[in-house]
Amino acid sequence: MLKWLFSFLPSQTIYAHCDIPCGIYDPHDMQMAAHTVIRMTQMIMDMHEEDQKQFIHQLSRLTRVKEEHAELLKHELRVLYGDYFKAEHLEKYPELSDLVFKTLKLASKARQEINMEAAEELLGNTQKIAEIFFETKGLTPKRVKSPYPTEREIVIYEG
Amino acid sequence: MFSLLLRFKISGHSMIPTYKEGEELLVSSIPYLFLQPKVGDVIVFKDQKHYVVKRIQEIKGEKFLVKGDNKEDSKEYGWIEKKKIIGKVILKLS
Repeated sequence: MLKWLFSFLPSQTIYAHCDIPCGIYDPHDMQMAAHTVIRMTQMIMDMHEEDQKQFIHQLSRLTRVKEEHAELLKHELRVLYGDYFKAEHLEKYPELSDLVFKTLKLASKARQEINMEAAEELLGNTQKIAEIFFETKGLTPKRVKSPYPTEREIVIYEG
Repeated sequence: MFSLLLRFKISGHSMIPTYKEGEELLVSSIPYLFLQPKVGDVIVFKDQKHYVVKRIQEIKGEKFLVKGDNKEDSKEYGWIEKKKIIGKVILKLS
């Protein structure tokens, strides 16, 4: 009703974007966070209880880092989705919204559980999002072996 | 700047949860003919070539510190001068 009442007024776009519109976005931190979640999950799974105090101490540290990086990944992804990706990107990549939704859920799952399958799937999704990101920039994404102990791939781009 | 009534459509997420992308707002400068902008007001201002919507956080004389409501990604925007303010958000249309 209200909208109809004021429909005679021309509508203009108003920006509620990231507060400093710097235009600097990168999926790198998100990918590093996914690698960290995998690494922490690996290290937790490899732990052996010899000294209980040491075990609890180390488990706490690894769990904390896994939690932090899963949250960091979610934060980075929300910023990319909320501030970088535009309607035209969603039209060109109709799978993107669902991919982002599933990735956020996976990050929570990988954070809550000691679940290597979820952590692997999380990395796979962040790589797909990174590929879409670089393509929207007119760049050619490329998967290369990362220099991290996870020995999984990371998405970079070719000029 | 006097603006009787302006209609804007939001692009972006920095005002979530108050205002979401795609929602429309009515903005007017009439409230500021009688009263000074105050902390908590949601205002529209012109920043270079864009119209921007933010909430006033702090006031120092004729300068206003503004910020988005979205705690996930809204850092402080910075200080803006009063002359850049187009008006106050007075109504959400959708």
